[in-house]
Amino acid sequence: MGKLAQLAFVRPFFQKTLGFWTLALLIGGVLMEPAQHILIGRFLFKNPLAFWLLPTSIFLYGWIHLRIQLELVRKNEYHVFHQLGLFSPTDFKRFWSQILLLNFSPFLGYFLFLSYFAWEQKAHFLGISLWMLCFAVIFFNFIIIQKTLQQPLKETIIHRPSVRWTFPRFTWIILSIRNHRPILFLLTKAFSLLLLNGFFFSFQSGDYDIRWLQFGVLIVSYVQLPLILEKSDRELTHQSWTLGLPLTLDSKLGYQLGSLALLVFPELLFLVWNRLISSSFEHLLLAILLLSLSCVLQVLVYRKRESSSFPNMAAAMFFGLFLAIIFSLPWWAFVIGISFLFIHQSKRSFGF
Amino acid sequence: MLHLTNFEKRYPSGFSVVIPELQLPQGIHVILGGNGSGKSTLLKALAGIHPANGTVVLNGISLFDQPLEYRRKIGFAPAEPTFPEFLNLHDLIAFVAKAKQASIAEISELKAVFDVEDFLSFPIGGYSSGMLKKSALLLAFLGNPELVILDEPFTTIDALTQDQLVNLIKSKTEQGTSFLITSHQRGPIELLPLTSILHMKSGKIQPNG
Repeated sequence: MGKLAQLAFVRPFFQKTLGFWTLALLIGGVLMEPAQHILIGRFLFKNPLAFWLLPTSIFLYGWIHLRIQLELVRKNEYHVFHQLGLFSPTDFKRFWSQILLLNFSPFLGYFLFLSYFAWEQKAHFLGISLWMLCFAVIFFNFIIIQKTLQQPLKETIIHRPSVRWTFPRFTWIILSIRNHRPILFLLTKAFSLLLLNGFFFSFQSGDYDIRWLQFGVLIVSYVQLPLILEKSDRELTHQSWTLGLPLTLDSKLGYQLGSLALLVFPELLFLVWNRLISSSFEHLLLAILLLSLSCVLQVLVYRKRESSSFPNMAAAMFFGLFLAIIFSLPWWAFVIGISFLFIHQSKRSFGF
Repeated sequence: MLHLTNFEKRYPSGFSVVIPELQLPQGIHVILGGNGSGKSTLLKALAGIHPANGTVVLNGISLFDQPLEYRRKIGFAPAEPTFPEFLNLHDLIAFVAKAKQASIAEISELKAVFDVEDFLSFPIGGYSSGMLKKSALLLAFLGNPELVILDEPFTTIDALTQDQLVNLIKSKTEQGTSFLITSHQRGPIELLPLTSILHMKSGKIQPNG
C-alpha cells in the first residue's frame, strides 16, 4: 500500500506544487547563502512579528495541501480511492500518515533547522509552539480527509461563465496557466517583480549605468523559464491540434508574440511605467529587450527541451548574453538575429 | 431490500432526479431510459458516491445516517470506468479487497470469471475500454456485496464475458445478492430472471414502470 499511497497522493501533490518548490529552491538554494539562512533563523526568534510568518505559512500550506488532496479524491479516476473510507482505522492511519509526513516533509525539515535557533535563542516556548502547531495542522488535514472519505463525495461541477466571450488564440495559454498553474504564475511574477524593483532601486543610487538594468532584465527573462516550459508543454500536449492547422506565418508569429507578451505582461508594464517616470528612452527599450529574450528562450525550449544539453545550452546562452551586456555590444543586432530564428522556427511544420 | 423516500438530486443546471417513493425487493431490477434520463445520476447517488437528499435504506441501513455500513454492502461499476493511469489491476484488486475485506478465494474466482490474468500487471493507462469495464465489474463484485449496482455492464465487453457476467449475476442472485442494472442492450438482459423493470424519463420513474 506504501507504493500506492505515494503514487496516488504524494506524487500528484508535488507535481501540482512543483512551480512553488522550484522557486523556493531557487530563492533559498541559489540566491541565498547559508549565512543568510542562519541570520533569518535567528531573526525569526528575536522578532515576534517576524515569527508570525511561520504559523501563517504552515496554515497556508496546510490549507493548500488539503485543497489539493480533496480535489484529487473528487476526480472521476480517483473515485476508487473513496473506498479508503472503508479501511479499518489502523489501516487508514497507516495509509495517510505516510502521505501526510511526506507531503509536509519540506516544512518538517525546515522547522527542524529552525529548532536549533529556538534552542540557541532560548525561545523554547516558541519552538515547542511551532512544532505543536505544525502537528495540529497535519492532524486537521487527516481529520478532514477522513470525514470526506466517509461521506458521499461532493461533485465537481463545471460552472460556465455567464458571459461567453470569444478569446483570441494567443490568450489560451495564459488562461490555461491561470487554471492549472496559478501558484507557479503568481510566484514567478512576484519574484521577477521583486528582482526588477531591486535592480531599479540600486540603479537610482547612480553607481551603475544602463547595463545594470539590462543585466536585471536578462535575469528576469530567465526567471520566466518555468512558465515558458509550461507554455510549450501545454502547446505540445493539450493544444497540439492547433500545430497541424494550416495557419499563415503572420498568424503564427502573432500568436507567439501575443502569448509571450501576455506571459511577461506585468514585467513589461513595470518597465513601461518606469520609462514614464524617468522619461528615459533607454528604459522603454528594456521592454523590447525583455520580449526578445523571452522569444529566444521560447525557441531554445522548442528546439532543445528534449535534449540532455538543454541546461548547458541555456547556461551558455545566459553567459553569452551577460558578456554582450558587459561589453556593451549592440543588443538590437541581437534582437534582429532572434527575429530570424523566431521566423525560421515558425516556418517549420509543427514548429510552433 | 432497497427503500427510497423523497429522494432528490438537483444540479445547478436545473436537471434533477426526483423519486418520491420506491421500494425494491430482493432480486434483479433493471432501469431503462434514454440518454440523459438520470439513470447514472441515480445509480451514483445510490452507490454512495455522490450526495443526494431524502432517505435511502438498504436492508435497514441508511445511506445518509450510516454511510460506511451502507457502502460496505454495495458494489458499483460505472458505465465508463476510469482509474489512475499509474496503477495496474493487481494494485486495484489488492486495494479494494482490503477495503471490502474480500477473501483470496473470492478474488481468484472473480479473476477467472472476467479473464483478467493476462493484463493484471499492465499499467491501466494502456487498457482498452473492454479491459477497463472488466476491471470495474470485477471490483464491484469484491467483498460479497448485498446490492450490486451496474451501470451499462454489457457495453464494450466481448460476447464471452457477457455470458460469464450473466451466469455470475444468476448465481449471485441465488445466493441472495440483489442487482440494480441499467442497460441499453436487450439481449443479455433478457437472459436474466428479472424481478422488475423500471422506466426513467427526465429524472423521474415513470408511473407505468
